[in-house]
Amino acid sequence: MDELDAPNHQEELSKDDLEVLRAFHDLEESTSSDNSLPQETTPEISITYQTDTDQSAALLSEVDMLALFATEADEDITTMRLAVQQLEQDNRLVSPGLQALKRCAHKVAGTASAIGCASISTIAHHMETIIKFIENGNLVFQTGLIALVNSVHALEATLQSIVSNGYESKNPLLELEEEYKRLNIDVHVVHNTKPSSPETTDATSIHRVSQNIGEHNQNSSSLRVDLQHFHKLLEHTEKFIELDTPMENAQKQVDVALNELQFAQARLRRLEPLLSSLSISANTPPDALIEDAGYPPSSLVARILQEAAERTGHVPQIKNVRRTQPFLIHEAALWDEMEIDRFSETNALTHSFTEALTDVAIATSHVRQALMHLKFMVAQQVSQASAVRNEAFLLQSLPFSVLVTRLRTAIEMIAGAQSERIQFEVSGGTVEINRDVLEKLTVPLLELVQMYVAEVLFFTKRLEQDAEQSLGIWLNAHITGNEATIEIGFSHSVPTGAVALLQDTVHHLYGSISLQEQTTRKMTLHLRLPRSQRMIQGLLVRAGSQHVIVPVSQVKRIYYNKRGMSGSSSQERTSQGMLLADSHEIFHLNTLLRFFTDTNTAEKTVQTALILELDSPQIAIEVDEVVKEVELVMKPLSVHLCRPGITSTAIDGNGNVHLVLNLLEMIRLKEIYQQAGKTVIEADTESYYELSLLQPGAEACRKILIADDSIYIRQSINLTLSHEGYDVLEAVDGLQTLEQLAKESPDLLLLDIEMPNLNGYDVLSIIRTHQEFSALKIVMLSSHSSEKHRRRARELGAHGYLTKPCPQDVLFKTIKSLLGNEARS
Amino acid sequence: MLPLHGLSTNDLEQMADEEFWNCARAQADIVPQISSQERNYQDQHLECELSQGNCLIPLKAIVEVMPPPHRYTQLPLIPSWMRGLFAWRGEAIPLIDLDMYLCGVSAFRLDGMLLVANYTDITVGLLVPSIGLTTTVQFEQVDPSTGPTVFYTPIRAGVIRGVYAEEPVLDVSALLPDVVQQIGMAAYYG
Repeated sequence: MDELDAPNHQEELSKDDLEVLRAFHDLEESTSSDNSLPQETTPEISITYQTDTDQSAALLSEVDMLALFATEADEDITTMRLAVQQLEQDNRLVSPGLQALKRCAHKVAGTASAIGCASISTIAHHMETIIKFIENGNLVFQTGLIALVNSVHALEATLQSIVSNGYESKNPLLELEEEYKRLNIDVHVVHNTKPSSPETTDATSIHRVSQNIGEHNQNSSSLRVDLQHFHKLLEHTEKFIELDTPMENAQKQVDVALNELQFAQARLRRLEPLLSSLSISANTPPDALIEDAGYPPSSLVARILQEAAERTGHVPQIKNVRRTQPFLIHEAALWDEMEIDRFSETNALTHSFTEALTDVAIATSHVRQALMHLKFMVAQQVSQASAVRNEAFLLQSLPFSVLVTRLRTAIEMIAGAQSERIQFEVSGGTVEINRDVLEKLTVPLLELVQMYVAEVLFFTKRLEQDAEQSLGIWLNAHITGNEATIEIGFSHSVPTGAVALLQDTVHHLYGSISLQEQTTRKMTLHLRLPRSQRMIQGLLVRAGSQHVIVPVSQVKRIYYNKRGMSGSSSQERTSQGMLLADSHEIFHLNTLLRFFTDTNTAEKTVQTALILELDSPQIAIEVDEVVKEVELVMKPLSVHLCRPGITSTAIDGNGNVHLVLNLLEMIRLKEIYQQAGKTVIEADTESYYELSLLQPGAEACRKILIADDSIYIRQSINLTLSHEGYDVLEAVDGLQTLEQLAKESPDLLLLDIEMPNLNGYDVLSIIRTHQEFSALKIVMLSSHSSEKHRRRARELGAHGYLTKPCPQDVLFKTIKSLLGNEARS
Repeated sequence: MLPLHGLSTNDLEQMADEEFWNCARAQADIVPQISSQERNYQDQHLECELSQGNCLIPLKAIVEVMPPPHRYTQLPLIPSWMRGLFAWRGEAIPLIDLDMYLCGVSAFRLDGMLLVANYTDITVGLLVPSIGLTTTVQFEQVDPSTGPTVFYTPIRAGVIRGVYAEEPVLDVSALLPDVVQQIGMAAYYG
């Protein structure tokens, strides 16, 4: 504002106008300086008079906005008071009062922050924090309730100060924080230690009634476990430890056997030179034999014979020849110590050699036995280790019935009085499924069921004719090896868009989903998921020099071109290959991995391919070889190393790194990247990148729908956008948003997340399933600033994400980037 | 023998319990001075021979030097100077061709030496054709003005701390975060 110009135009405004401007300008000055309303310290009055009638109008409208905020906040605080009363009556965690309180606190926090009421916003944030504490079990319910009651009083007092004095008093907040300290509640640590899961923060009405059983926070250091599983784990661990002693014994036996073998071999080695010398003697002529006294000098017999030979000149040749034969095994067998004189020293040596050989053979046999025993023990230990690991995984598992309960509650809530028409059948409720898997499946499954029930009960016209016909939903879960299969049957068709939502989650979990339409109005979804997200049971496949792992749960079957492989004619091979090409879209794995581009894939004969578990489009991934099936521990990659469809690796026993491919995710992302007109905006950093920015056609009109439960937010944005020439519409909740979308066909939707009836995510999901909204640009406008919300919004099809309070220039920049520069064509 | 810090065993024996523990606490509170040997280690740099010249890497940043052979796995959408991933202590670590990264050209050979470098929580493998001796280079000896004769490509100037004896001294605290940032960006831009 230009203060120098201000006095020149004082006379253009009435006295009352000036008073209003003066009061409001004080407010604005303080807001612009520290983003909060003036506090009890008297602000320095510096009046600036507007020179422009538009600006005056803007200021006046801001007074209206403040009044609007005060009215709205008063209503919300009243709702909070009633909610707290209900909580006191219910005296338990699962109460609609808690959820109403949470929603109102969130709304007030966002709205107050936008208008600059720092104290009110902080108190409301504290309330959200306390509710999270209570929900996570970190705070005793009664203590939390006292804190919430005090918080509502503090809100009332602060709002009263605004209404009475025109500025926000900080005292109620300070007193409240003192009260928190007395109650031993530290509300400031929560943002670091307890980030909430999407299920609790973004909870739809369905999630709010969900049971807390099994809910856990991944960032929490504690984990609730099933006692039975825990005992089993202890039992298996003890057995594993008990194997230590037998294992050590087996190793000792191997050592003993090896020593024995070594000893026998040493004895053999000692005998070897003696036998060699005897062998040499046997080959020398008789004279030489006598002359060099080749016989052992210690042998009495030898000496007598030698002396006799010298005396008589007769050499007993035949005997000598026989005696000098080195390996007279049959003589050794006739060994008799009583007839020792019959044998020469050679015989004794031969006998010893035979004994040594026998010892070696026995020792070898002992080594073999000891090794076999060791191998058996190792196998037992591996098996026990596997049991411990499985039990540890089961520790993190939940029965399928937990999910079923949530689904049932969701159906009852959405169907209301028509719940009786819904037939709900479950089997395999006791099947244990990994907790992470189950939690990630919960939201899309709830959305699917919710949309199905809503579609069939409320939107499908044909049901008007057969209103008495019941709806059926069947659930079945079972385990096959390391894979969990969930089957969901519906008596009526499910919107394919709703299935797509679930499909994304399933693919993200290295699983697959297939749809079977049994009769005209019956369909079953088959979900195949790995039981654990830490172990990967996959196929080790080769593409060029690269070996990668593909999860078994994503592969329907392996295609082998046997004719081609057996060397039949090229015509046959081509024909076989073309058959696959006709029915499937074929990618070579290396092309998919972008290691090299092979454009002629379809024309070549496909020898080996993985047929993916995907209904549409049918996809085959050509590989050079399927090496083997492996089961390895998955190691998540650092964020900077993650690539589309590649978020984990597995390292084998030889130290080789294998990429774990999420093929279905790769295909999905490939399709997304190919879509035109997709813009991703990161408004908080005011930077954005475009995959391919499409400007709207010249004939497009610029109609913007604001969906927010806060009247203040709606009207302030409405004012801003209307001033820029946009045609602005408003919706107070999710249902009204859908109605407005259908009725008015806006170009852009500014969508809040936390809203009554259907929340922002629900609306996004429904929009995604309706082709008629494909041209609609959606910008999320929420006070949730975390990456998980941004990611989820993006995944559900939002084009941009803005955080409340959002600067005007960022809002305009975002809208213009999506709709083009002009508000009206 | 334990250092008695000017006290005889006799002195220690005559101390009352409280005196003894006070003395022990006082000794425990003394901050050990960095020995000249330790300081020397802080200043030690390893000479790496690249195709265009040599460079110096602070030894304290190098966790392990691995001789060939090196096995690695390709990863899609990576910068030209990243070869892929290799397994190091049970984790998949990026393998960087330092020659290519610094000079833009590479006589890429897998028979070079692999230096596993770490800075805060970032660990990468730097593949260099060969390594030379270690040299003690003190902070003040590094000339921050690199001059035009240095061989690396100008866009890498940010990861060079300066020059010592005509050899660039790498700044690991800038190098490793830059490598990580560019690997992350490559996922989007190829």
